[in-house]
Amino acid sequence: MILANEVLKISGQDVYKCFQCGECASSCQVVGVDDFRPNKLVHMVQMGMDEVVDKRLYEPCLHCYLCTVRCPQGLSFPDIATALSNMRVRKYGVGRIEKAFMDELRRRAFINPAKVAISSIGVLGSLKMAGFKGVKLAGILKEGGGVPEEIRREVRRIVR
Amino acid sequence: MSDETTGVVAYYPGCSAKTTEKAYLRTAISVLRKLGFEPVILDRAPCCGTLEAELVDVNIVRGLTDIIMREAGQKRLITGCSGCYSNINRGGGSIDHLVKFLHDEVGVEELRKRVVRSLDLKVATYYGCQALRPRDLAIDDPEDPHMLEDLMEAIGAKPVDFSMRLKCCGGPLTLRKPNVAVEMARSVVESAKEAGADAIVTMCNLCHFMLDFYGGGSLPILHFTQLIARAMGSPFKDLGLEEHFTPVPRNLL
Repeated sequence: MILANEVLKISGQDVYKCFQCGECASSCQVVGVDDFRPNKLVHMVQMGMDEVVDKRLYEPCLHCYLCTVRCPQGLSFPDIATALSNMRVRKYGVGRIEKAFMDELRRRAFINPAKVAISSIGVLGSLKMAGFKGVKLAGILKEGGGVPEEIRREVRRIVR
Repeated sequence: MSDETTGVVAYYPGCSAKTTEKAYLRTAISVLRKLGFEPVILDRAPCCGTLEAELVDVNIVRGLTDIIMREAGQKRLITGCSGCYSNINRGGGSIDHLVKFLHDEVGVEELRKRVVRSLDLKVATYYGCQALRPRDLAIDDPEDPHMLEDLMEAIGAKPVDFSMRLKCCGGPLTLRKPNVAVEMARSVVESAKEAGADAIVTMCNLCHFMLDFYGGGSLPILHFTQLIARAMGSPFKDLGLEEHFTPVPRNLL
């Protein structure tokens, strides 16, 4: 399917509305991170360039939606980024980071933020980051969320 | 909707409020009770999925939202987490943010009347993103909100303006670009410090964790409910301030 059509189908966002005013880029806190620029990516989607998906060029988007409230055409770049990310998962499966997160969600129907912090910056990084207070993370690691088994079962049917 | 006669409301804590942000849940419940509500904590309900599940497949968020809404039943549903607020509303559910609930349904004047211990500190009121944007989910003006300042002024605290007030805490990038995320969290804290704040006040589980854990430690990061609970007479020891990663001086509240 044509890239722009697939984005439209998943997110309801019609990328052809974009006329490159650049308001999104000027509102964006992560513009320039890995050469990220929302309007550039929208143009690439208009042009049908699959590398947007293949190279995960949408990934720096914070989903802060500041561009969304400012776009004169009513487009929501974060929703376009979500659609591109969904398309990537369909094409290549989930990546390492997504897998760790989804495994945890599937297992407990719950996400432990201490685990997420440690998996992102490592045990040493966590200790360095929060000083001796980082040891508090260790106590939180064992928390399992307490979602009962019947609901976990339901969640396993949703999170495959 | 809500049960007007009994004041029963369902409170969705979010995963962080069961772990790193227990003090937020405790003080939110305490404030609601002091104001005459009967909050029922939805501790059986699953995770909202967060942005991560949405990035894998938007349908996962819809499925999780269905379970959460079913667990709430007919009760009015409230959360203190802006991330959960956004995800559940985007997933087809209906949930209110605690800030809006207190501001609009309890009211600033009513809150002012309930203050027994007026606070005297300068606060950097930090909104973050998900309760203000996109526009159809905004609890307040997306670019010029005032609700959190109104609540803080009602309890005596003095809001200061700071440049990162409506910006992102970096939370969504912690997994993939931790260096960028940490830099963003630090810039929020630095901006509040430069503005002369004594503390940053948050209204989201994830924002609190980001600023408290990754923010560099130069300012205490408080849940807005901790200040309201204190102003309504909660003893210092009930606020859970010792659970924070960044130490909170005892004489602050």
